Amino acid sequence: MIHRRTLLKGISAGTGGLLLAPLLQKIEAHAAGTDATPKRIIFVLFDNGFHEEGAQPVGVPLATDKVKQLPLKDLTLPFDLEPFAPWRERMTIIQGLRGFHLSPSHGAGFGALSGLPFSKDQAKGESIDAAVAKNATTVFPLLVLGIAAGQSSATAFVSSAWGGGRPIAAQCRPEIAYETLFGSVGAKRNTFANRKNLLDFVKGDLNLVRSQIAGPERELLDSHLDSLETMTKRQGELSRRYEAGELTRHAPMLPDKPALKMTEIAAAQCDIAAAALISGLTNVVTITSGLCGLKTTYTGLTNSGVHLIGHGTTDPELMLTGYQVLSRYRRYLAEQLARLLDKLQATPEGRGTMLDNTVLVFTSDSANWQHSGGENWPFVLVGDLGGRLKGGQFVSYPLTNRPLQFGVPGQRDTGLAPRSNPTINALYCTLLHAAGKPRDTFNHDGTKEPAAQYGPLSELLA
Amino acid sequence: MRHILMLVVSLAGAAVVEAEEAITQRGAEFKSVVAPLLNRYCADCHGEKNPEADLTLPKAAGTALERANVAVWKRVYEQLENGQMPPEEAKQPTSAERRQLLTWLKGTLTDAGVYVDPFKLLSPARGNWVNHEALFSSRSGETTGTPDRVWRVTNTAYQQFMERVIKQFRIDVNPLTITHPWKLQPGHDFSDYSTSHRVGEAEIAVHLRNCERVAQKIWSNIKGHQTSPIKLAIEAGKSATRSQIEGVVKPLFEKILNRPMEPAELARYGDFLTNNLRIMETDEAVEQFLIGVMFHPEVLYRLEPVEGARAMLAPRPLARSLALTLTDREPDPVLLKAVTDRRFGSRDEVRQHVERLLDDDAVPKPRLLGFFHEYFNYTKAVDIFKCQTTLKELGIPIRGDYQPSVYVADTDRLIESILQDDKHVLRELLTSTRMFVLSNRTPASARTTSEKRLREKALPDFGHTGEQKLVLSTYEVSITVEDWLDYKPMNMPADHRMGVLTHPSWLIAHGTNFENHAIQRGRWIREKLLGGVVPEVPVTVNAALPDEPDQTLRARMRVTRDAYCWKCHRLMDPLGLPFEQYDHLGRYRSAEIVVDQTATQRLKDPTKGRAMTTAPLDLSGGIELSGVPGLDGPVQTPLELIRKLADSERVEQVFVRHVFRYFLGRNETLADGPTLVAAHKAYRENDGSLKSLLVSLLTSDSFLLRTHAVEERTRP
Repeated sequence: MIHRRTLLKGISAGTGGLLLAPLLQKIEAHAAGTDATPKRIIFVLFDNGFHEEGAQPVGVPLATDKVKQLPLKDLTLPFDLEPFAPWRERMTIIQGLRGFHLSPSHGAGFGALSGLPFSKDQAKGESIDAAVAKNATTVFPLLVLGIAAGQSSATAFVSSAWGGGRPIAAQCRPEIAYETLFGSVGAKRNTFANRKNLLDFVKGDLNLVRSQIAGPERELLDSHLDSLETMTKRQGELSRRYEAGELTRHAPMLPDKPALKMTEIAAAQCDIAAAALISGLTNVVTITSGLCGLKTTYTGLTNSGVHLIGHGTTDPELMLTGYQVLSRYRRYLAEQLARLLDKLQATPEGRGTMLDNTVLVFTSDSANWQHSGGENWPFVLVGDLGGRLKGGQFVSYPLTNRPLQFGVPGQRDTGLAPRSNPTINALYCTLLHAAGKPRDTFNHDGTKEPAAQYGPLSELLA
Repeated sequence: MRHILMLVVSLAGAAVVEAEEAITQRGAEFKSVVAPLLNRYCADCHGEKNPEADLTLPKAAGTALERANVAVWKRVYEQLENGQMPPEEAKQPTSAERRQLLTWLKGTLTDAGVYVDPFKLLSPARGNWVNHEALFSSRSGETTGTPDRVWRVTNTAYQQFMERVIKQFRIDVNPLTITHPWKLQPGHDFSDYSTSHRVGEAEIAVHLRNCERVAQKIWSNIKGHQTSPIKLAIEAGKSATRSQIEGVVKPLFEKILNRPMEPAELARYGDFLTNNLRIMETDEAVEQFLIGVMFHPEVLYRLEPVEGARAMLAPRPLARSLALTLTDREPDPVLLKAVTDRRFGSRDEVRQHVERLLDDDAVPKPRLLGFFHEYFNYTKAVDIFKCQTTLKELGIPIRGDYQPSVYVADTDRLIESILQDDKHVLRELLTSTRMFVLSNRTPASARTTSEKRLREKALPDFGHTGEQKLVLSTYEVSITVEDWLDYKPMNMPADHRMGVLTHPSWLIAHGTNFENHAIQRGRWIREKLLGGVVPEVPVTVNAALPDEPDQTLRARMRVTRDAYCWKCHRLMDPLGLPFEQYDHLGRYRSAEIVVDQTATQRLKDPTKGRAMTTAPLDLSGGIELSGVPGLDGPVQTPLELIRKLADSERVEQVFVRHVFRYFLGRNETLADGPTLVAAHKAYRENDGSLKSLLVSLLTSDSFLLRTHAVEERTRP
């Protein structure tokens, strides 16, 4: 097995690694038995849980003692998912996956995308978006964007990681994400070229320090240098594209003022994600709203705190219960994502459109409610990834109905999955198969799961 | 194209050969080293017949390297690495053998693409692994010092650097709008070790943006001054002479980094600017040069290299390390002048400055309180959310009346006052009944004038708002408005409370949204006071208590008594359970409130909440397996437990170990034994003075010396 990274490193020492990138992509694609059309995945996480009723088709009972598969075309989508209706023929709603090993109460943190236990605040291993993006030859193998109104930090490490101890930052400021991808708005200079020049120079001093240190911190300097190297190369490639006018062609319009409200940030980040995908700067995007753990606000939708909303507390201004606000929140995100999907659909690719080779994975980092123990983890997939996913169906693994009273008066139905149900790791494993990167299992080592549940899930694969 | 293809093919060939060689070598090592060790220590239980935990170890070299065995090796590595296997009663491999196994496993796992954390042994969570008796029985003598290293600066130090640059160049940038490139999250363990955070792409990108902003402003400021020599020199542009270039580079570099520039640096940075001028517009060229200076490794790291194999840090890096350690900022002018005048470098000179910095109240020392924040971890109280329903069930109808930040501020203030007295610091922290009250709510502590005015207006009503009533009744004190305005500490009832472990801030921080967390409290005492080790939760455990709201916490914790769980819970539960004396808002109580199931079922409208009742308290607990003669034994109340702990010399030593870790940014090793013995002695001989302890630590070989070799780490 040839390690692509080794190969690329060797080549870039002599010739231009980027020149070879498309070639390698083809060789690799050929070896993997896939065609060269890139496969795109958009992961979207939101906080406070994906309530069962926000995902369940209207009128379909939650409880089922067998695996249930129903065609979506005959069913009514719930309020939250109505914006996805145009794509119901290639959409999958999934109930009944488990995630108790991830303790998703208040957000599973890194566990939501890695499926690894004890990962709330710490990246213990590779996340699924990184696994899909690994070895990609795009300028940004993986683009992680955050929707974090009310947070002062521009970046946050919350959802994604190349591996244990190597988290990937979410860019929470749309204007900075924009500038990173497309350069300063209306800039007359090529800032990418300057940055490349600068980062090249900066490496010198750091290398000098590295040569003086023998202690364990030397490895930290190594990874600092590696990052500089990656960034230098990226700036070089962006500079080339800038000169060729490729970046401005796809750059989205940004609002005049920096987006501050949750609603504005969500819209801007979806615009940026669409442009990054369409321009080919990346094929894998993760958008995390709420930073995997109730750390932000829902400004633009409600002035109540996210925590109270998740408890169902009534918003005194809107006169809606917290659960109703959450439903609007999910719908709002779905609307923004629908705009993104529209844009992909309007972009021709091969004999169809970009959307044909895309799947959106829509779920909560907090499973099915704010204090979820991971007894049920609803997912929605929109798109069939070039026909690799079945689509157009509602799939529910066995569930019993557990009425839940939480926070405020009143009950709602939640699902309780038996231990024999697959975990969310199995879904991620399925996605890897669909993306042409099959594995036997995704991050199941060490958890006591029956091997039969390792995935991929035959109900989902075409 | 053909050339490129051939290159691809030939490189691919080389990579395959390389990989094969690695595999062959691992196979050979397995046969010669690993298999015999596994046979000797593991095969009895993990052979093919009825293997324990369903784990059979691969036997043959061929199968050992198969992909299917990766999961097995991962488990083996974890168990072996954290000392859980072989079990206590079985024969143990020597530390050299253990290391041999771990090295092979690490290599094999890394080959298979599994991440093995290289810093696990160096992480704060492993601090207690070094044998306590061995450390404190060290005789005075040479310690090895700290390995040469870099240590990424803190947010505060980074911010302060930027502020200084902004001030020095008088540029129009609000320092508060400078984004920190990293944020260290305090948690159960110390957040800021030299190995605890990598500078990666995100951090570099944020720093780059900060620098771009500042550099632009600096240059436009310089340009604005018609007579600036720098401006005149730079106007020569591409045709600038070398001496003109140096006339720009040197003063700017020295002003930004606040130190003299070395000749080699002048050459490098001079070339950089010259080259920039050649390929860019003049403005860009200078700005890029300025950013280059602000990207000097010194801005992001403390640099602590060493000349030769073992020596004292050179005066300049030493001054910087000392200043950052104590004040979280660059050296003050006095220290800098001492360096320039060559009056800083010997141990005595270091001592003078440590004492000066500690004694001078005008020098801000946020790291002192910072240590206690992370050690006691009480500031977390503000992050523990209590919902309306929970508060209502505890008799607090208005959610806004519960303000945990008050409790945190009060504990802060008490610690500051204890540090001011600097006598029997740890004992006072553990046993003092003094308490400052509502200290962040006085008019004087208001952040804005309008807030101040509002608070002054409310003075006549002091003690009557919901928030104030809750705080006063929680502490069980009353206070006059005059005493409150004077920040006079009150005494909490001595039979109800003593010390930080009974402060609402600590109790809330070591609880959950809905209840006490006796396990976490016990773990804190086990690790931070007794210096014990609690193994990590095994991945196979679903760590949750049964959902039985009509039962007390103690009753629900019965599940931890299961033999498999008790092995570890025994180390925590008995230490934490006496604190059931308080509810999860930190209030003293005489009974526990639980749900009355029968009454709840009888409620007319079950959606309108639950009926509550009380259950009697059982506060029994105790110290087990401390390894300290005379310390183990049962206790009946939290105060009895605290008194025992406060009287223990072991606890004092463990405290010293934690002070060492925080201020040196690493775990102690056996070689640091003499440093710890001396620091403890200094603390004792000076009536429990933290200052004396710090002077001793910061003038020790461990702090002053650097060694240039990869040190071997100690295993438990």
